[in-house]
Amino acid sequence: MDEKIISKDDLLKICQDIIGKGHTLLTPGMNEYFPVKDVSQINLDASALPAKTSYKSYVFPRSEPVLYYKRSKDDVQLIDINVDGKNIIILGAKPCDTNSISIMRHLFNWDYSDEFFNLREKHFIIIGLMCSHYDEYCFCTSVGSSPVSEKGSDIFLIPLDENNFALRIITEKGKEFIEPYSEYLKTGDESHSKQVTENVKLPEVAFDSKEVYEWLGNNFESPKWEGIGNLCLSCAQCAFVCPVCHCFDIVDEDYSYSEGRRMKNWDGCQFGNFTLHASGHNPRDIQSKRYRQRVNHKFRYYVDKFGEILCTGCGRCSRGCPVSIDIKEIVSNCKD
Amino acid sequence: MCPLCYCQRCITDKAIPRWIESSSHQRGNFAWNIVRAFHLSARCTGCGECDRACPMDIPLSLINRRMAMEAKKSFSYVSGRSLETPTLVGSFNEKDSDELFM
Ligand code: SF4
Ligand code: SF4
Ligand code: SF4
Ligand code: SF4
Repeated sequence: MDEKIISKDDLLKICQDIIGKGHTLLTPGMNEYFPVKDVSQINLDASALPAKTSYKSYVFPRSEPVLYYKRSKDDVQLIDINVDGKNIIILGAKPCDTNSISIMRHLFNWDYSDEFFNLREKHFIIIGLMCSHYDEYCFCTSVGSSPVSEKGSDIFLIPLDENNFALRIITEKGKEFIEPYSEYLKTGDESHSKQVTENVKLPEVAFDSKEVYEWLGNNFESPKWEGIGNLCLSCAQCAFVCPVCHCFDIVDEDYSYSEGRRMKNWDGCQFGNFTLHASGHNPRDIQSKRYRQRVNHKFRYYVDKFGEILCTGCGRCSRGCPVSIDIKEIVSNCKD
Repeated sequence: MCPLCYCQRCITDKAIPRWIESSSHQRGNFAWNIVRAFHLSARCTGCGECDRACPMDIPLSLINRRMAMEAKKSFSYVSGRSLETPTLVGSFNEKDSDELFM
């Protein structure tokens, strides 16, 4: 690992240069990762809780056209869309966000390689920031991550004091990105940053994900699902704020009889319509079956298919749930 | 959450025909909010549940309060005052003033 030291002022100079070049620089605010217009908006606060939404929408937008169509009496013409591959630099990403793209990558390259996702991902630079504070909803440590995890980051920052960060170069992409700015980097000493990371208070491990995996396999018909189903409103807030939920729906929007566009829109398994068949049959007709799907997909099916848990432990779904359903609590109860 | 939302099946879930686009672009979101504003105009009881439930902290009840103001101004109607008075939207009449529409 290559470790350097950079002052906050110098880091902001780099940010200024990035914005000046016309690249998009995203940084977390209260509600979302927002595009920085002025470097004074940059906070780099390691103790902030995750923003209410992740930067998922920059690689997988909430709603986007995938093609346009024109229809005449005896012909249909399809017009392809050019994906924009703009450089996006994400500064100060939480460790429970940095690994989200690499978790979703499996799905978007499984039976079909999603060019929209892949091109956008290629142009991402993720600069993670160590996390120094957790609340009752955090459980990154239960899903194989931690507040000091570098997984998914191209560059990782550790605050050493008010004005200085240790800067670890993690990937080739990160190295290429930072090279033009080497004048700002001082040689670092790992023992310094290690002292910081070793003193970070970690959220308690709430469950053993392997035991949860086993329990889910044996308890498809458990009465526990019914209890949760009776509470849940089916609003799918949990899927929309989740950094790794990736379900989408394809719908056609007609402008008129002769033209329109095909949209790819976020969807979520908690909606009643999600599995509604054209015949009228719905295999997940009640909420308990839908919630069971949510937990199984994250902690069993995805593990089976791709070897990773479909959850970063960020706790967003629980913080935002209007009826206070806490996924950490539910998964911790996936045992006999 | 809303105690005044009681449709068995919400208009947003109806796909044939599709009244409200499921795309969360401006048009889809706007269509949803305008339907909600009209359905709750002069019905909202001001309980504040929509504000509390919104994961993005959008103060949705402001829209309902504005609609209540319009109902009072244009039709001298205040919700919840009497059990006998017909509801505002339920008693729509073609001769009603349409001044409040743009
Ligand atoms: S889940 Fe972990 S990394 Fe994310 S905010 Fe909580 S403690 Fe920090
Ligand atoms: S956010 Fe809560 S109420 Fe809404 S679907 Fe998810 S678990 Fe159910
Ligand atoms: S399921 Fe909940 S805790 Fe897990 S990644 Fe998604 S939003 Fe975060
Ligand atoms: S948990 Fe539900 S919404 Fe999220 S990816 Fe899985 S099936 Fe889709």
